Amino acid sequence: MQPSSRNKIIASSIVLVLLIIIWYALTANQSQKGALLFPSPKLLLDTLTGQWQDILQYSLTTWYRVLIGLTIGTFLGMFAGILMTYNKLLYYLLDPIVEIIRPIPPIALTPFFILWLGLGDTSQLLLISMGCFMIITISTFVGITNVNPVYVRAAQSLGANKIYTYKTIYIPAIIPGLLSGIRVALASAFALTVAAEYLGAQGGLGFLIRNARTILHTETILLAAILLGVESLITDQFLRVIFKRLTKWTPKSI
Amino acid sequence: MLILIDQINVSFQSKKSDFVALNNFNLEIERNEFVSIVGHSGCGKTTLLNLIAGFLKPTSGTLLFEGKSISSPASDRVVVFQEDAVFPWLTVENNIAYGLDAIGVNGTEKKNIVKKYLDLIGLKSFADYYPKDLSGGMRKRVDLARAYAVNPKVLLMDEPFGALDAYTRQNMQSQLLNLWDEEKKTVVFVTHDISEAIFMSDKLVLMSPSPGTVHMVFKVPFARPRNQKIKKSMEFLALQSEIEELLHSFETADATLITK
Repeated sequence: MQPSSRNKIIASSIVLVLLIIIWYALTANQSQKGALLFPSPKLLLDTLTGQWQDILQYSLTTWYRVLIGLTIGTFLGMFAGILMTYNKLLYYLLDPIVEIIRPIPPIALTPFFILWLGLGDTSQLLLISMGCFMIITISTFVGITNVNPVYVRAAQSLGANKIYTYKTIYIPAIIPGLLSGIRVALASAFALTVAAEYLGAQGGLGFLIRNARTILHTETILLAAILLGVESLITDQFLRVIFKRLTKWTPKSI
Repeated sequence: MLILIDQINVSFQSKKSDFVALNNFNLEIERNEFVSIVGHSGCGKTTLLNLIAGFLKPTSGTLLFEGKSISSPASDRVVVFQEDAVFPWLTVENNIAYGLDAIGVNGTEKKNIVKKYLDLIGLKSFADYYPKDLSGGMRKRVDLARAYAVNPKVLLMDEPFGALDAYTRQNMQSQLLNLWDEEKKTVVFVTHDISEAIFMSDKLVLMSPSPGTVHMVFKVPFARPRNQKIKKSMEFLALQSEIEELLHSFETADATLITK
């Protein structure tokens, strides 16, 4: 491990531990009303150990939905972004569609998805991947239009045809920039997943939050929120590692 | 004759007016000839190169390459740009192999070609490096090797050494000439640097601006192989100052045009 990344881990751990200590200190000896307003770490731990099987199950369900939705949305979005740059005609055809759909929050269409596909996973995944799809389409489109034209000309002059140019020039060139798009899409995927679960999907941390809300189990709500943060953090780190591998060639790796 | 340019006109249309980049341009380029194109910025040097490369079509006139008109870019006419066009996501080795991959040269043949040019440009021990770890001069060598590797019939060079420092530039001039002596190719070499143009070429085309056209063609008499010393000979300097004066006269002609 490089010294800089080791320092980062040490610094982050110190901050986290400090936050937990402060939280612990502030919520020690709290009243029942206090425990309702801001539960102590001990209460959360009790909840976790008490129903860890259910909570694990819910966490994995949410995580699974996020990852599958993000993956589908990313690949379809890249494909759409590429199509939009492939020629003028495709751009003229696709741009209005993207521009009309883009401002619509996908969550607003949830009733349709549920009517069409039922309450099962398919409608959840459609919702999540649609949110990611829009972000990645735009990110890919902008990335490709910003590729230095000298690379494209050099490739053409060396004998590359259009599809080969996409494969060997445009796609590798946009990878570093695409990471920020995918990270935005990841955050959006978590938000959409929890919202969908909150609105009616079975299982998942959003479902857990909804149920806990009706019986005012605030410690369960806070625990679910923290678990979401942890899942998001791990996924984000994982994405960074993958992209670091893919972009060894950039002057300063991200 | 490899390239015939006969009464070529190129104009670019904008909303307000047409800009004439090349006007009645005539030039013949022989096989394995090293031709330099010299002239002020905006006199149409790059336009000429883009025509031969196939990035651009003439508005009128005839442009023949091996007797046929040029319809699109192809690996028999490879361009080396002034900007750094080495692909940063490919290693040195894969950059040199790029054109070979694109046109479907595989297996041992590809391997041998790549190895040969890695040797010729002296970057054998850098084969697995990414361009970010190379100096500007090394990257330019990779660019040259990549162009040479597809065995083009003509190399089109658009101020290829323009972004390099003076020392690296001289070094690259010699390297390119060595490569060229080893394996003759037709080269069309655009540059601002008159001494570089004379040093490298068999034929020097001086272009005059607005609109761009051939002003005069010089035969460069020096024997090959050449080395940097000839730049200090009387003959060389005389030719250089003759061309410089002509270039200067275009500038004053331009100035009088503006004051009128």
